[in-house]
Amino acid sequence: MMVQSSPENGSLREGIFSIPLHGPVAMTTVPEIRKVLLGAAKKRAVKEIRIDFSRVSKLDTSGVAMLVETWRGLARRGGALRLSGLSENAKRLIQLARLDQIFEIRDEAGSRIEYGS
Amino acid sequence: MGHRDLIDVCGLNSHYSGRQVLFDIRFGIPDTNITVIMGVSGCGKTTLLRHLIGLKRTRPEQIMVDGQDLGKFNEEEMRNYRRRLGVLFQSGALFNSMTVSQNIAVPLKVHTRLSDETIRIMALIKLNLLGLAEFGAFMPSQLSGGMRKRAGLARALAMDPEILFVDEPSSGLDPITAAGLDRLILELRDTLGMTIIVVTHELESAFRIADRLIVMDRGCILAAGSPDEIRASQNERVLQFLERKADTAEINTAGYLSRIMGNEITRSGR
Repeated sequence: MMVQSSPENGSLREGIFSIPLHGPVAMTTVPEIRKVLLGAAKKRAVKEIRIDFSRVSKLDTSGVAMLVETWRGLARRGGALRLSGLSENAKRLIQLARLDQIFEIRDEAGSRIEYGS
Repeated sequence: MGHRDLIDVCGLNSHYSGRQVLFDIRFGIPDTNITVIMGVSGCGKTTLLRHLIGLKRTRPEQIMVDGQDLGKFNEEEMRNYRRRLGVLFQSGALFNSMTVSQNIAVPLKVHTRLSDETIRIMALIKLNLLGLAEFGAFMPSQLSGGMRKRAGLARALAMDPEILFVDEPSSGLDPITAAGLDRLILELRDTLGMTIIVVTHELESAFRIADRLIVMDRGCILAAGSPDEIRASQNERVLQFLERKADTAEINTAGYLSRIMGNEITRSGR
């Protein structure tokens, strides 16, 4: 069974809070992950949050809603949210919710993915 | 192609008040596909839907879900199964005393530990998906028929269901709105990988969205297959349905006259 993300997973270095998530990011797991992300988004020292989804098995709309909350918390202070390692399904879900325009999504090579409008 | 059957209906019989309405129904529902169940009014498709969503009791060994016997589910197993489902009823089935957003939030508040803000954003995402982002604060009575249907679908999608059941999506809708709803159903399959079961008698809509079609008649399955296979069917009843030919009324004159005359069979009754 995959280990769920916990506050210990994240690391803060030079204003960048990096966190790899594991397993499903869905209704049952979002309440815990949200605490970690919103907690980090509130910290003054955090200028950017980078979330690695490469070991995430599923992302549902509760996960997307959580990302919106995190992004909002950061954007108020001029911070950024970067997502990497998203599966094709997760990318499609974010596109369907039309949020690919506000999240910064990176591919495996670390390049920013630009979506057509 | 390559899809496993998520639900296997394996010899379903059903009765209402002692009268049999479904006869040995057998078919599979492949995952991440759209299965359309169609047939004339009264053919048993809504009864079949009620069995599939657990609203009508099913005897053991007649419906398997992921290899588990639906007829043997205890209360908790049935609750867990229903959590995997989204259902859009023909009427939309919205709570009239709540706004559209509140309607969508209900299942999330009841079944999850998500915060109010997460739920609010999720409702907005679903409303946007259905083209109703501006109407979250509206009451159902303030919406048109097509919008109510879409709001009902937004609520059916609230829990990100793995399996979506849709009862007569096009009924009461104009052709443009109906086509829009069909396109959305296709998008849900493609984007979210949902397994979708649609019950309808609208031919155009059925052929537009179906990966697999089940044609029912008088409580039995007449034909099952891809849209092309159904179009090529030589079954008379299937052809009659596809060509929209009216039934030649089979009138039991003797029975009718017997009833009208007070159970006295007339000599001329045939």
